[in-house]
Amino acid sequence: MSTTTEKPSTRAPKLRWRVVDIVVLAVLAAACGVIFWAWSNLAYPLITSAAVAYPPASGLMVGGWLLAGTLGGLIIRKPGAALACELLAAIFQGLMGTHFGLTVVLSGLIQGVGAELIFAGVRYRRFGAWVATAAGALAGFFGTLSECFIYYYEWPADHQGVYVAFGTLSGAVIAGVLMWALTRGLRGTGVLSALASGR
Amino acid sequence: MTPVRPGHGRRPSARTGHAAEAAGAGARVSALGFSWQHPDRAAASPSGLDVEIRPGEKVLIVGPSGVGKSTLLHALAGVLDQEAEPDSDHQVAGPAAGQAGQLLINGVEAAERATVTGLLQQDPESAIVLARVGDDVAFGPENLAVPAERIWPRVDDALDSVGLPGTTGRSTDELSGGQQQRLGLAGITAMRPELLLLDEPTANLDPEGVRTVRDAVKTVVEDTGATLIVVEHRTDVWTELVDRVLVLGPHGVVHDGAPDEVFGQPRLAADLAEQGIWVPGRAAPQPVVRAADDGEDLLTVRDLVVSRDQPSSRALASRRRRLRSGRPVPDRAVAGRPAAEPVSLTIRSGSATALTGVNGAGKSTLALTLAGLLVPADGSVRATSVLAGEAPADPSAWSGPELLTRVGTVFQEPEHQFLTSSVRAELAEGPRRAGWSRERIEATVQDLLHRLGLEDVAEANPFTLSGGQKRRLSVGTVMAAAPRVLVLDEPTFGQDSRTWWAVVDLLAEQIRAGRVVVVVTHDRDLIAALGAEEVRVEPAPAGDGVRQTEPAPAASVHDGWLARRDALTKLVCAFALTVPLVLSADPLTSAIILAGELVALGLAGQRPLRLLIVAWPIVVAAVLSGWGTALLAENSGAVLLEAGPVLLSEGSVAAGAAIAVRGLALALPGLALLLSTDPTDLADGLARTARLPARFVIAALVGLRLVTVMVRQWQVLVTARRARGAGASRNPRLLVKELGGRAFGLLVQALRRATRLAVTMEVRGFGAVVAAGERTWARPIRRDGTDAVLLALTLALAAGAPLLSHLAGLHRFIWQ
Repeated sequence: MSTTTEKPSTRAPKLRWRVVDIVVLAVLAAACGVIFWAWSNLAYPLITSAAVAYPPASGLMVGGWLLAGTLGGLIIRKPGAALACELLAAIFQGLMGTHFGLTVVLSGLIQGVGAELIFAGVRYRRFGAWVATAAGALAGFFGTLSECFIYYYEWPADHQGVYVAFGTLSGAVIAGVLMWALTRGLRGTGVLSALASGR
Repeated sequence: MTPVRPGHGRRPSARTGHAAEAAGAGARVSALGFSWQHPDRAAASPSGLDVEIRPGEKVLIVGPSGVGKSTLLHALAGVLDQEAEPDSDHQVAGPAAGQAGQLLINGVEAAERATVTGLLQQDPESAIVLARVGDDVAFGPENLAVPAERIWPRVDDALDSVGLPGTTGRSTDELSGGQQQRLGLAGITAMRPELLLLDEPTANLDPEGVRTVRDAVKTVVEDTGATLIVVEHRTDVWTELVDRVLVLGPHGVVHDGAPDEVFGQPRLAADLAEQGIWVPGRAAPQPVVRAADDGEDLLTVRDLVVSRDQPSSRALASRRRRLRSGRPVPDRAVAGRPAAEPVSLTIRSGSATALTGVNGAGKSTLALTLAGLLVPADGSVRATSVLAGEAPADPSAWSGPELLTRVGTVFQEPEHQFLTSSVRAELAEGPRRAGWSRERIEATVQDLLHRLGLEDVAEANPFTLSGGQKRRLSVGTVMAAAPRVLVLDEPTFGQDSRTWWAVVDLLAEQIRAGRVVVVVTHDRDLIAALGAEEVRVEPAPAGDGVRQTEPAPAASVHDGWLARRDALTKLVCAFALTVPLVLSADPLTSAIILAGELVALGLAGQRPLRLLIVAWPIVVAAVLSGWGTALLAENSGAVLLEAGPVLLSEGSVAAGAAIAVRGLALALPGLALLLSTDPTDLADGLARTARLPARFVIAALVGLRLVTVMVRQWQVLVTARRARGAGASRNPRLLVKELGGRAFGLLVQALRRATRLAVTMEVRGFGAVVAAGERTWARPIRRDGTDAVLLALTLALAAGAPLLSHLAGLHRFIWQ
């Protein structure tokens, strides 16, 4: 097992999706849907208080809904994995009932694109802590920025700015650093051995 | 032998027509110096395998772990490339990467998958792909591009063969483990396989499940004439059925002969037993330990009624606080549905108790209640002062550390309870949480490592251990904090004869030391060996061994007008309504659409009250987001409220109300779709009409099925980790840490299941064929004039609402 994950892989990344990659993607997204659900239970009181006191503070909890993108990218390591995982997890969460309705599909797409852009930017060769952090941050940035247009258009610009900053930070920490650590932990268990990230 | 298939009427006449289609089946298998090397392993396994299996032969393969029995089956099924990514991206016909020698089926390399081959694995949950029984069986034939009209007769025949007739419409989620495995077998049978591969298919099943699966295999093999290869260490299950036994060693076949020949040789039989193989006809174990004569009462149970329905975690915490401060505990608001008949018993030190009973009798629920992890629905569990010490008498009121040092619970799946990343840390975790001194912890851990035979793997990650090692570790982790009572759920499931004895010895040692062992088990030998007193648990008369429904998807109302509409049409309608809502910021557009939605749902026969019950979180969220906007939006008009920093004006409240109405209007179509649509129908529509890539749509459907499974698993994880002293903290940092731990546990299970499921799906033809778009679809799509009317009306509403608003001079886009 490699000791450092920052070093670019010596082999060219294999871009073909095998059945196992597709199925892991779907199951991972489903697991993230369940984690979103648990996260909502935890985050709900905090978001409620934020909503009552200072609405932009809810941006700090946004990262919990972005983790599927980074996790999918880090574990499956194929083009489109981050985007597809975030999108699918959002759809699953939508199917579990959410007040955002079908717009979760749009949100999932926008957030997923944020994470995917970073992985594409390093040509699917680097999957270290910085890449993960950047992917989480960009997902958070795209996500909260789009929400300012779609939901929070009545907020003044300075509040919107705070919301986006909080969302980016939350994405970088929760969906970035934490997911990188989680992936490392998962590799230690041997469950990734069939995948590119387990080698 | 009488097959145990109640109500199963064989219909030979109806079957022969289709059986003719499959005639002549039975593949020839030849291994010529076959070896396979995993890219991460030092040695090849299997290695140097030479064997010839004739068409229709029935072969049992045994051998010590690590000789590559499962790998051989995966190689025969042509799915080795799912186990490790090949170094080349180019698919060339021929042997798998890492292979030496040849592995031929009917003269063609197995990796080319020229012959229809079925593989059934150990975990019942990964034998199943789709949510409905019929759809699941049809999955393989669809991938093989069998014409749709020929699929359903095949499905019926296959379900008949495995003893599940007439179940096509049932949910796969309601099935027991044995039924799941038989369904998996039906899914393979419907593909008309020439080679049937079984990888310990009964290891996780109770005796009833083992029997039914074995009988189903017998019928299928008789009907199809397929060649059968079984890998199994419980040989007695299969000896009657097979006509040849192969014993594998590190360098190929060691013994080869008829079952009587191989197991009849005393020397060889002893060798096999040494390797952990259950040799048929061995003597039943004698008691290795007896209950102490001078045992003290530790737990008294009176008229205990147990239930899986538990109060919310908040209610539980408040109950615990009340019990501990001696305040009265209010009766539970919701009486739980009883899982079993009332039970009374006394548990004395230095003894063993076995909880037995049929599947779904509530044995595990009873065990968890005895262990203080579930709250009784009625009656009482009381710890005597000997066990409780200074803690309250009710075990369900104990804190994590109190629980750890008094009752240890070992769950059926050891991985649910792992908290750390090394064996050593894992053993130290309980004592650490119990607040022991560093020296005492180190001494205990060292002693345990030795007694459990885990010294060599002390620094290894617990998840990477073998099945037997994991089992011993999970017993060891709860023993570490020296509880007086050990509760174990099916500790001998899936163990080979060596690890079985290791578990028995460990438990016997505990009983001799004056501790108590409570086991939930079907294993008669275990009960005999521990000299356990048997308590037979009877299912509650309400008769539900049925699994509890969870608050996840499928809280569905699959009836009514809306449910009969085409799924894809409904999805398009929902999106059509979303577009003007997302783009418009004025309240009138939202209000018109919301009104239209409510009228439509009313006309479609949705009861408003029911909708409100399901939709209440949406209503709350809409109100909250309205409030947030009212706080922040620009103020204009009269000031309505001014309190500190809070300033609400007419203008900002109107903006907030608009946001709330818009949120509701956005959410309702999705909810209606969810409540009235079968996900399988939606996936069919997306792949066939909308032409989305079939592989991804089907995979998404598989993931969706697992959401329900994983929500249930999450709840098991919560309880399993509490048994190790984790969770139930009010400290936010610990709460987040615990949440992370649960997420980790969930992901490990999910990834394991996904890799096994990928093998199941690949074997059932979900690969190149589907990618090439040559798949057939068993379910017809029903789309008619009414659907067109629904779509037309929706589009009229979607376009009309902003138009009306515009005519009224109120319409505003979100960027305006």
